[in-house]
Amino acid sequence: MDVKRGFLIRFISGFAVVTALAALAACSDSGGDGDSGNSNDFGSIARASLGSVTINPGETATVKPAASLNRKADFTQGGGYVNAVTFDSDQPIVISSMASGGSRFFYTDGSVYGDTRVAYFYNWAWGSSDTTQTLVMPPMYTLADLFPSGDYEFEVLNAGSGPATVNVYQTRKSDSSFSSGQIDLNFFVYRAGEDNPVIPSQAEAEKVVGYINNIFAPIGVSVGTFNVEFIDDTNAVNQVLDDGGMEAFLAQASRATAGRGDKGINCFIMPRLAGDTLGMDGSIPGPGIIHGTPKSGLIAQAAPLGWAMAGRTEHETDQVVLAKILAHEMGHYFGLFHTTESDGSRTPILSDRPHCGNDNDDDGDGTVTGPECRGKGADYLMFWVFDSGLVSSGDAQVTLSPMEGQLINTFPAVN
Amino acid sequence: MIRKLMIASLAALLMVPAAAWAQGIVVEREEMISVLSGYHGGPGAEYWQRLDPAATRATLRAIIEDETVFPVARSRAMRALTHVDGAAADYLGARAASEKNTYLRAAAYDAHARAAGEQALPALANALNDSDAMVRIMAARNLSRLAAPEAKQSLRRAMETENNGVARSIMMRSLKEDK
Repeated sequence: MDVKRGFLIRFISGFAVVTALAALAACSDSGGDGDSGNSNDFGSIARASLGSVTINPGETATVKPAASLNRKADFTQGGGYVNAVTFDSDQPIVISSMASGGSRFFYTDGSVYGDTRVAYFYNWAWGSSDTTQTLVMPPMYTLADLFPSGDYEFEVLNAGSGPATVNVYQTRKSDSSFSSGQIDLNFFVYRAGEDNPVIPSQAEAEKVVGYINNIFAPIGVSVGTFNVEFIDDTNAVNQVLDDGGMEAFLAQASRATAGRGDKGINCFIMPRLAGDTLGMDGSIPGPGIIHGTPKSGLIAQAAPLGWAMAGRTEHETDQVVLAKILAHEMGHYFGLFHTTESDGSRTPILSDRPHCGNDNDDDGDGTVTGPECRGKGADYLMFWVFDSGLVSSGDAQVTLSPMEGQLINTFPAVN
Repeated sequence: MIRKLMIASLAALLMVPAAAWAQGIVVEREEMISVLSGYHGGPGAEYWQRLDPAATRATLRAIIEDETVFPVARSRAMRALTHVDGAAADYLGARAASEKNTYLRAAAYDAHARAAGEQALPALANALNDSDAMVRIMAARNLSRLAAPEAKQSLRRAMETENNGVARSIMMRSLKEDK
């Protein structure tokens, strides 16, 4: 079935107009976050709700946020605009196509149009089915010239079994150089009936933020506004100890951020996670600065490990470990995949990252590990393993490549 | 005749299941620590069952007992042991009783419960008196899954003195469901 429904969201100029017109165009709005929390202007960064569209199961709708994405005219050498468009549905959806004028960036049949470097960024979208998906345009400011001026349109397929209400959001930022920026963070520290010894107070949370700043300093990124809340929720602490409970919690907790007026990345910090999971991000990339979607956040374990790295106390080590987990998950939120996956595969996006293919699997167990990948990306923040062998010997394992820095500095939560 | 034998041997060779080939895979200690240290979790049962059982058992136990190893890897090693070690239940029970590191003690009780089933009941009942809240939470969670009346009795007794909100809520829910 390939029934297409036209749906046009007009954007004339300014987010206030978008919001008003989108609200008129909206068929329904079941997202629950309302425009009040997701239509804010923070100066160089802004977000807006563009309305919603209803799609029947198996059908495709064309969503066309018009001139809002006409970024090339603004994207001049030395500065410009970046847009993230987030589709949030109550059913699994597939962004099956993105096009502008004569350029089609990908199509659900696997066809690649335009520049293959751009296509790499959207590879994951082919056939990928999820309730919430975000496309960043351009994914890196260095690729700006590959995005033509004009209106952009997206084909959205309802891959679920019931009618889908798809809410569409936009995050937009302008930047003069894309060489540095700040991120705002919201820490939600869950307590297991008592203070978490890793992060028991605002002052201790600030130390963790300091370690995060150290990690991102080489690419010019630091933490700006920082909020911390300590939460006593016995059900949540218990839920994330269940296999499969983490994803459900992350979705629920992220949804519950609807209506927040800040632009912080939501970090849910738990005393323990099922299977000793260190962390998890809602989606790659995350939904910009849009709160209230099931992907509007990440989760991390903050546990007293009773273990010390060289030159650090156990307490400092716990905080450094937490900072590394948070930075790794933020890397996913910004759009970074692992430099190498456990089986040696990779999503071929950034050409300057070292790759450790499965030809390095010396023992034939089907995984490429830290020791097998020395000099081939094991020292990277986005390697799939927390390489304690490196970390305990003094290598922080937080390398970021220049292109990773460019991607992070492009992402519209970094301004 | 020789030709027929060669063809038969080749055919037999090709018919050997891939899993049998995999029985010989030996993962060295440092590699295994790394396998156990993924940001997003450790490998599942199918991974461990592909490895050489004896060598894997020995390496996992060595990792569990090495205090210099990243505790997350040691904790995951306990769970991995339940997939490859027929004596895991006893080993992990003893480990839980003697482990000083609270992060690992909670993990040991949890892995022991997975391996021993109802046989873990006495150890879990003792763990409800542990000084560490996460150990008590893990014990309460695992006791809640057991159908034996003694499990409920242990939870009921512990409720009288338990001050931790998470542990109490697990106990209350379990006892409520039992009514």
